[in-house]
Amino acid sequence: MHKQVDINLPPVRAAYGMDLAGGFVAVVRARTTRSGIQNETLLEIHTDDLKTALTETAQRVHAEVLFQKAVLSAALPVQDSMARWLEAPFPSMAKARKVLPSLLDIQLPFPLETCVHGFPFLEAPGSGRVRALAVAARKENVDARITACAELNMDPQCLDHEGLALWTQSVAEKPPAQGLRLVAYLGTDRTAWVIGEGDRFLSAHASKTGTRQLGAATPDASQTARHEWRDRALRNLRAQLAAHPDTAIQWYWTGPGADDKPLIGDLESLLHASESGIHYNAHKQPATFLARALAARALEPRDWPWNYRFADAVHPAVSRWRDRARRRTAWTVMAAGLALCVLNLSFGMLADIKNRQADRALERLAQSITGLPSIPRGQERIVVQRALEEQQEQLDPFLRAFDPSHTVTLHDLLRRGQTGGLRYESISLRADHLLIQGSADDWDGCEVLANQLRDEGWTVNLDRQEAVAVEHVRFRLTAGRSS
Amino acid sequence: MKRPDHSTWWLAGASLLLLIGGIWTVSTLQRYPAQKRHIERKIDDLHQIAAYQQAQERDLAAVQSFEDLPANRPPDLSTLLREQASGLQSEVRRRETRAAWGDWQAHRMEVSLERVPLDVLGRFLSIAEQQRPPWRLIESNIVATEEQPGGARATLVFEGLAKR
Repeated sequence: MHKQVDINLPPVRAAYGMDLAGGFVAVVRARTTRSGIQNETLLEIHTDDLKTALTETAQRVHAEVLFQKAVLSAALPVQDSMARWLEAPFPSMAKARKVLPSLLDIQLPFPLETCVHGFPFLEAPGSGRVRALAVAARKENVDARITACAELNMDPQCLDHEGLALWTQSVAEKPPAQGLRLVAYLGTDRTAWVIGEGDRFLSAHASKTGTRQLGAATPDASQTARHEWRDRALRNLRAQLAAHPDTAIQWYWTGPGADDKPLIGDLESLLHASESGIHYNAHKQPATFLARALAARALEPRDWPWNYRFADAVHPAVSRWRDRARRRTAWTVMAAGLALCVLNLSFGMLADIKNRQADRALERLAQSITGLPSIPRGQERIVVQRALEEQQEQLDPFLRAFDPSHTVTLHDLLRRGQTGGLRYESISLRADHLLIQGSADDWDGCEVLANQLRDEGWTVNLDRQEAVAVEHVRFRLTAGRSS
Repeated sequence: MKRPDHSTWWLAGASLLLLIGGIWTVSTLQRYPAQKRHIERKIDDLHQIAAYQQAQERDLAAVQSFEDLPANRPPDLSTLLREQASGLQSEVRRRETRAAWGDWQAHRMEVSLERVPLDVLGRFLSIAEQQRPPWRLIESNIVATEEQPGGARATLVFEGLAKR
């Protein structure tokens, strides 16, 4: 598990990288496309009048930065900064973060308070420890670099670690292989050596010797500088070889000095005389390599990201972007909160209106039925039911007037009796109850009447007695029907 | 300690508003089922009472049909009996009077007829019911008389509506 750090840059589609050295400047504009990052070299020049050379480029950069379309990234040279691997004896990153500054302080040759420092890479490898890459630079060096850039009207939003930038770009352009890799940046006034293994950055070293010193006017001075340069390079390399014995070494030249083939050939010969196991390679377009690296890292800060410009050193444009982003977030959150409140309020009001409408409708309807001036809320249905029960008694005589007529029923019974050969002894008809007693000529005579009544919806019960003394069949028919 | 800047206060206020909105929403969602049931119960009551009202309107239409009649009481049953079945041994007596809707009263009259021919009985019943307002037969008890074929002893209960 490793922790990514925020390098305090707005998300943009384009970024400028600037490699600035004594008498040399390279500016590259990188932009993200569907096929990846595309670089455009805007400036690559050796001149002592850097300000004039940068005038046009500075205007372009300034315009894009102003409208937040791009950011500018420069590097703090390796000689002005340091990078150290630290290990904190805690499995928790949060706890480790608290002690890492103290661990770094021990390793610094100057007080931590005078430094800009941070940890671009933290990992918990699972051994109960947290490993962190610490980078630090004295505030005065950071301020001096920012001032130097600003004097050229190229005030960068990102001040990267040169060693980390060289390493990530080297790994991006030439995928890592087995063994150690050394990226040698040969500048006009400095050299940086970055050593790593696989895709992992290990260390960065620097010398104030560059092509100017290595190609000095007098042969003696030049040879002296080249030998000193070789010694310094091998010292740095051997420190890593001690930790990684029997390891192949891939050496990658880059920087504006890497185009000087005779110089490079001479330096390789010098190195070969002392250390024969090095395989030499070169990155393409070495003069703009660092500028490309810086632009790419500002555009996509993925591996070993870093920016010395934070806290008090933050660029005003980044501050404004941060403020705007925070205000935008605040407005979005506020709008969401307001929307929720309005939604809830509307819902509550709507429910209240519906409730009141239902109450009013209920009250009006109940009043119209019962004639009561007021009805307790919630009791409408019961009150109406009771009122209707009371009313029903008074309405029943009117409704009965429209019920099927008993007179018609009686007429029908009498007619059926005559036609069916029935002799009624008594007929009792009351509400929905009918009782007929009488006699029939035969057993089935009264069955016809019973079936007719059943067809009309009566529930009929028929009792018959076989006549013994007389010829007729006596019957008793009871019938009922639900109202 | 660094003082929070303006935008931090804004963000804090906005977050508080969002929190309030969120809590309010949760509360609303929790109360929603009960509110829904409450309103649904009222709407159900409303539909039920509207159905009661329709039934009441149908019932009142029956009253109105009586109100529309030219007379507001049925003819006297004794008179009707004399006209339709003269010479019969009969007795008419009031059974009960109850208050009906509005100014109306429901009168129940019991008519006892001895040895009444069935055809006369049938005609009398029809004529009583054809009166406006009518005399409605609500109970009848007819027993055949052995001594008079085609005749019977009848006890009839009529109901008629009359205005006070």
